[in-house]
Amino acid sequence: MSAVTAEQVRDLVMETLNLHEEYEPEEIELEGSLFGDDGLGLDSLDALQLAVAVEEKWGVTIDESIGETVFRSLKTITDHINANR
Amino acid sequence: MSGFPIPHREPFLFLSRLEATDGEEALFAYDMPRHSDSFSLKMFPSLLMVEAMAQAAAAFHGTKLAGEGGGEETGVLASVDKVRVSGRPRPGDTLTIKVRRRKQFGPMVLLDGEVWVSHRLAASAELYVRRGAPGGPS
Repeated sequence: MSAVTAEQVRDLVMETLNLHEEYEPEEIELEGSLFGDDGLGLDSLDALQLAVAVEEKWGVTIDESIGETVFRSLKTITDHINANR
Repeated sequence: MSGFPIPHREPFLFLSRLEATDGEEALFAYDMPRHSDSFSLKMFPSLLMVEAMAQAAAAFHGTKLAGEGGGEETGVLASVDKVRVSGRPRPGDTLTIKVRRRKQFGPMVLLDGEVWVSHRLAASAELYVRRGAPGGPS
């Protein structure tokens, strides 16, 4: 099974959260913050939608208890998926 | 009082009774009136089936919290997704509204909702509810 790439995760994030009108794909940096004012400004609704999308696409669960750590950046999401597939 | 932990009242209350619950899901019934002074409907509109699922989600959420010794916490419908409509209830039909908690993340809860009429699926949707008082997600 090939590893999931950060680009695949970025595509899922943009599609799930309808970010195409606000951002170009390259504007979302690999280690940039996704949540909070210093990042993309995603919120708790976005987090839940992303957790569901990741689970449906790759079968990897992201629980609330680790959400803050996993959803720090595209890289941390990608690492979590590849470590738990 | 409607008997449900939501502020909705007739004619905009689309729950008649709680049929069953096991803690993770609940079945409600709604008896669509044959005649109404407020609505003149030949069919139950699709959007009101989404509203019925949202009311069921909120009522289930409030009932579940009360059962756990929770307080007066309520929920606000934040979003709906994957809405599918495949039937149109008619006056006199009884709608069975099923909601099931699927995932929680911080203050946000995802529930799957379905509306059934005479053993046929009439509508389904994913419902995103924010726990607590109204306000923007954080």
